[in-house]
Amino acid sequence: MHGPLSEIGLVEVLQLLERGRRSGELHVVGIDPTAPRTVVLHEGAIAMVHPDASDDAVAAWRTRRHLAGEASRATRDRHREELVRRSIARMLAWTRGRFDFAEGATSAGPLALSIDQLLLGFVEAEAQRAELASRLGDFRLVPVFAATNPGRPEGGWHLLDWRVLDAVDGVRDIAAVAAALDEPLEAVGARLEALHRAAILDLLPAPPDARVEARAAIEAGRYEEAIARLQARVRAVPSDAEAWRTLGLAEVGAGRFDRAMTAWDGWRRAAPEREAEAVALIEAARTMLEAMHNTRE
Amino acid sequence: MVPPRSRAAATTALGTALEGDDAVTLTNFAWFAARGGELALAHAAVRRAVARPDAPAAAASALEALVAGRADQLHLLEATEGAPGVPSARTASPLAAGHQAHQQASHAVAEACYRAALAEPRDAAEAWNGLAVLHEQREERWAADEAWEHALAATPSSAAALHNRALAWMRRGEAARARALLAARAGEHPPDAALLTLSALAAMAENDPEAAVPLLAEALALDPELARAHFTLGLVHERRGQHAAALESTRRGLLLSPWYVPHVWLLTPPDGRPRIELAAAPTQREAAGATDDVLLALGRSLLETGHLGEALAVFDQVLLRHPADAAGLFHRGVVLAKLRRYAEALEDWERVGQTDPDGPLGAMSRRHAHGARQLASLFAAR
Repeated sequence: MHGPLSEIGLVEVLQLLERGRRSGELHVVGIDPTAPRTVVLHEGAIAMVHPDASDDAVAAWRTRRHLAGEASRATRDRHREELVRRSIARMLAWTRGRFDFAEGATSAGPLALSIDQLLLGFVEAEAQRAELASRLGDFRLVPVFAATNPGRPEGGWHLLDWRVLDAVDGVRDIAAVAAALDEPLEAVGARLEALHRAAILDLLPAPPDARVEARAAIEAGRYEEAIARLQARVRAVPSDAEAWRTLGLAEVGAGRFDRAMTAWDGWRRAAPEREAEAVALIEAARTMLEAMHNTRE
Repeated sequence: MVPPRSRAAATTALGTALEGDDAVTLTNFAWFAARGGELALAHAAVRRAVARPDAPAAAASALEALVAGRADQLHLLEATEGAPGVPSARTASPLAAGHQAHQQASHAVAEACYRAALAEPRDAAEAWNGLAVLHEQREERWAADEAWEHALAATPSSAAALHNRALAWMRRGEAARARALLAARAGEHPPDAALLTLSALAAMAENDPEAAVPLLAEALALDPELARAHFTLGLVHERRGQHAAALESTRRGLLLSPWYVPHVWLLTPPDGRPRIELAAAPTQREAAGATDDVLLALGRSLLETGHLGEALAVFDQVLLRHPADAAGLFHRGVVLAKLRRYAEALEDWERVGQTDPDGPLGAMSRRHAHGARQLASLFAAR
């Protein structure tokens, strides 16, 4: 069983395999041919995704979250499940590339996830994200430490609370905090709301959105103005991937492909999950730079 | 609008708000505080965490890291990973947790637990005693003395605090002061085998074996299984030239323990549980040294009482650990000579001459070696 993702989406492939309770390895190549994934299926359930949820990936995940080195197997598998969830979510968005399913015996575990359950989870997360976005100014509110006496978050302290507090710098908005922490917007938004209710944090209105204003400037052909706004933005919030991406566009508009490459490199670092797109744009800018160089010669 | 707080001010306010929280929350707060450079707040929080009955092992590691100046090695802790670091402390007190950490040589954790135990009037005296021992182990003598003052003021009859204070003075070279303290306070507490044995050791340190004999006899009447009292009595007898009695005492000691650890710190757990003894010698090597003294004494006693085979085995044991031990070589040479194994005796004495050329054993060995060489040549000629 194989085919291009442009004709049959990965979600349909996984559902078919689940319905048929098939075991084997599903090799998926997306827009970046150098980063293939392998989904291990056992009787239709997702048991593992390589390399995204490997032991090394779990260890790296824990390190990035400042968690102590040792963890029980149950805890590691909980983290592994989250990594699989994220990996599948990214893959479901791929519309280019191909899949190949090699049927064969696989052993059960470490996970046994149903694609239908994963999809339901994605839908719930999306609904929660939309609801929170309406309450949290489209995640553009800026968290700061409250001047009042702090209380205790409703339902007690969550592990994420400490990293959220650590990321609060009075400059980054909620979206930027979530990006810096590599956590879902809805998870960070929910904890920020709880910390706000406990009078630990205040959520201040965001300053004018440099990205929106910069985009208007680009559309009006005022590239230098857009570049100035976006440079100020990425200096303040280096994790703002969209600002880096738009800065690259503005530099291309101004005819400066070398600077565009630098900006997109910043985008690549701020949004590793969009590396393939960033790399493609960097290559395009490099081609343009070479073409212009040849023309000048 | 009220301006927002700085991170430092917010950390201070949070630290105060978390006073009564669980150990995991306090440990995670310490991580947050340390990340912001608020090390004093981090330290205070993690000390409170380790003194909690539910303290996880990671809280103790965090405290050790902070004490060692490795704030970057703090981690966040998941509530589900909250395996307790000090199992018995789950249902016990900070004092019990302190004792356990102290036994595991986790000194920073022990200190935090002892300080938390000071708040409990029933445990305060023993907590001061534990703190004093910790300070003494770190050679913070002024702090140790002050802590023992507190311990003895809270419970004047605390045998453990009295014992430890006297032991500290002995180890600092003030045996007379230790002896005087133990004699002066003898009537303030019930007879105690550990205190009597320590008094005997202090007497020995002052070269007064005669005074040590009745003290050790009383100690062994109270606790016939106190190995260090038997060993000490063996040394006392040997010092008095009573080799048969020395042999008997040392053999009894060896039946109870393979190690002679003369100096121990005493901790008294709550709820009437048995006393905890921590070897005062900081290394196994020092403890082994004390044991070798006993073995040498045992070997000499065996030699004097004509048990040559056993004496040879004992000296072999000493020399197995310390092949160049001059006393061991010298005495084994004597045993071998008595067994008419002159060539081997000669070899041992010649080695003493090499390892201790200027000492009395070296001079004696050279004389013995000269005689042995002559005898060996006679045997060779025959």
